[in-house]
Amino acid sequence: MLKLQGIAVSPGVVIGEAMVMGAEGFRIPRRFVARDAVESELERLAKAFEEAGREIAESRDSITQEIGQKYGDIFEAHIQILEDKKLRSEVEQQVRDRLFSPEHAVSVVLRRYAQVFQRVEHSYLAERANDIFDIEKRLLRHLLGHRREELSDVTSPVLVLASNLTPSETANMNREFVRGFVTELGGPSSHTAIVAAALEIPAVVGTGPFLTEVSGGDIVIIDGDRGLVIIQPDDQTLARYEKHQQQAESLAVERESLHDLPAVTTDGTEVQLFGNIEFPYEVDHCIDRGAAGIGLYRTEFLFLGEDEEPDEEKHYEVYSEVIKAMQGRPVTIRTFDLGADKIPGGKPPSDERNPFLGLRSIRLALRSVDLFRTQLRAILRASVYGPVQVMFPLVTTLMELRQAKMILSDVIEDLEESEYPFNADIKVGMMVEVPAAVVMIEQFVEEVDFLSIGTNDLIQYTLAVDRSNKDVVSLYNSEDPAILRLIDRTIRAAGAKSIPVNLCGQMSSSPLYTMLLVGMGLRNFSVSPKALPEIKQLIRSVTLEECKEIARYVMTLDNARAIKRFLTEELRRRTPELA
Amino acid sequence: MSSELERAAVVRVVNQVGMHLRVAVELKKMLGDFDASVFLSLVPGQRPDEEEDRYALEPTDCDDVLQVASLGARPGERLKLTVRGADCEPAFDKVVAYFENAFGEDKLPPDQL
Repeated sequence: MLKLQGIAVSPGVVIGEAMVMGAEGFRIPRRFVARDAVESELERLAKAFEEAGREIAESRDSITQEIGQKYGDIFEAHIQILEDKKLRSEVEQQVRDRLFSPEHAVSVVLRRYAQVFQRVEHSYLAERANDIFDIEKRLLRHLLGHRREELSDVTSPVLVLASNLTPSETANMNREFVRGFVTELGGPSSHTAIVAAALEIPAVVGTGPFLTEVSGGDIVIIDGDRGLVIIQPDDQTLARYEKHQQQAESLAVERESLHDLPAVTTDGTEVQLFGNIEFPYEVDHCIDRGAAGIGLYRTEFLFLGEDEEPDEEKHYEVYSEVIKAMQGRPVTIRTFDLGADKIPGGKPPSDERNPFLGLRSIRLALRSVDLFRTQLRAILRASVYGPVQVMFPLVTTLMELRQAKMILSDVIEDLEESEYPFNADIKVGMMVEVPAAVVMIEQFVEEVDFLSIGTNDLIQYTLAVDRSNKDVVSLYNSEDPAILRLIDRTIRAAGAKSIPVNLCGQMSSSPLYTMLLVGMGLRNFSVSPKALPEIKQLIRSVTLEECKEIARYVMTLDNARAIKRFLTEELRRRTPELA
Repeated sequence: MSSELERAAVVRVVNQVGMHLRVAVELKKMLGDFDASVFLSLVPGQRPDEEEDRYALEPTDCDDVLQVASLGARPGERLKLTVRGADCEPAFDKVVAYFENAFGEDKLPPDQL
C-alpha cells in the first residue's frame, strides 16, 4: 500500500484499475499470460528486442552522419543496454515464472533499473534514468504495435495516472470509461483539474513523482475530497472506502428527487440556482439537476490545446450548441479569461514575473482586440438561439469597462451591416473579482446590467494569497470578514440599483456558505453542476429568517476561524450529512 | 598450474561524474577483441546506504553495460576488478589504464580524492 498526498481538485471517491500513461501518452497494461502461452509470448518479446535494436541502429547511423559521433554514441549505448544479457534474462524470468505479459515484464524490470539510477545522488547519473525510460517506451511500442492504447480508445473503466495531461490528450479521451485522474504535476487551476471538475470525476494533482512505483492494473483509490491517492490499498482501507462510496451513491439518488422542485426556503423566498460550465457537454449535468440556467460559461477551453486560435465560426458553433441545449434558459457567457495560468498556445510572455498581476483576462482582451472582437461577434450571433448575457472578467477600472463596452458596440455596428441575424439588446455585465472594483462598485452599477462576484480571484487579490502555494494556502479563507464585507457591499450596491447580482466561484458551491449568503441577500448562485442538488436541498430546509440571523451574527465576528467554526456548527446542526 | 589465468586489483573512479553509461559502453568495446572475462564489483564499506545497493557488491560482467552502469559508481569510489581468460594480462592492463586515465575525461581534483 502506497499513500500519496496531493491537491484535491475534484471531489468524490473512486476505486478502480490504474491506467498508467507513459510520457508518450500510451498505456502500460498489466496482463498476465496463460501458462501455455509463455513460449509464444517469449518469442514476441525476442522479436521486440530485435526490432527495437534494429530501429536504434538506424537512428544511430543517421544521427552520427547528420550531427556527429558524439550524439550517435547515445544510441550506441541504448543498443548495448538492449544487448545486456542479465536484463534480458530478468525480463524473460518475469514472463516465465510470474506469468507477466512481456509488456508488463519490460516495464517492471526497466523501471527497477531507472530507480537505481535515480537513487544515485549525482545528477549526471540520475539523468540516465531517462535513457532507461526511453528504451522502455521503445520496447513497449514494438510489443504493443497496433494494440497501443491511448486515452481515446480505452474500453473498460480506468483511473488515469499520468505525469501530466495535455489538453489534447484529455480532449480526445473516452469519457465513458475514464473515472478519475491523478497527475504528478499541476495545481488547482491546471488543465487536469478543470477537466476533472467538468466531468465530475474525482481528481488529485501535484502528488510529486510516483509513476515508477505503480503499474497498469494495480488497484487504486482516488480520494478527491481529501487529495489522497492510495495505491494497492490493504483490505481494511479498501473496505472503508467501499462503504463510503456506497453511502455517497445512496445520498445522490435521494437528491435526484429534488430535480423538478424550486430552490425555495421553507418560508417562501426563492433563490435561483445556475450552473457553472466550461465544456458544452456539461449542459446535460445542469439540466439533469434542474439548473435555472448557466450563470458562468467559461470560454477558455476554446483557446487552450489548439495550435490555432479559434475562428468566429468555431466560437459560434460551440456557443450555439450550448444555448440551444439550454432550451430558453438564460446563459451568461464570460469572455475569455486567458493569461496568468491559462495561456493560449502554452507560451508565457518572456518577462511575466507576476502572472496574476500581469497581462491577463480583460487586459489581454483589450490588447488583443481582433481576438476579442471575434469572440464578441460569435456571442452576438449565437444569441438569437436563446437569452444570452455577456460578461467581462477581471474588470478593475471604469475605463476598462467602458473600453470593452465600446468594442462591443463597434462589433454590433459591424454586424448590423452584415447579413447575420443577432441580438443587439444583449445584457452586459462584469465580474466583481478585484477589490478595486468593489471600492468603486456604486459607480460600476450605473454602467452594467448585472454583476457576478468571482470569489476565487477576489479572495486571492484581497488577502494577497496564492492558493497554489502550499506555504500560504491556509491563509486563503473564503469566510474572512474582509471578503464578506466586500460581498455585502456588492450585493447592496446591486440592490440599490435593482440589477441582478450572482455569485460564482467555489464559495457558492460549498454548502457551508449557502445560508450566510442567502441571509446577506444573495438570490442568485452559480455553482458547479455537481453541487446543485445539495445546495438546493439545503435552501429548501431553512427559513429566510434563520439565514438572516446567521448573517447578522457572522458580521459581528472579526476573524475567519471563528466564522468558519460557527458556520460549520450551524450546518452540522441542520444537515449533518453536508457538514 | 591453473589452465585459467586470473588477475585482480582494486581500481578507483577518478573522473568527475562517476562511471556512467558511456564509460560502460566504452569498456565493453575495448574488451571486445580479448579472450577475457572482466568483472567489477563495489568494494564494501563505502556507501552509507550500502544495504540498498547490495547487488553492486556482486561481481558484474563488463559485457553487460546496463549492469556496469547500474553499479552507480561515484567519483572517488573503489571497485574490485577481476580478469580471467587467455588474454588476461593485456585486458587487465587496458582496464587499469582506462580507470587511471579517468576514462579519458577530466580528473577529480586531488583534494577531493
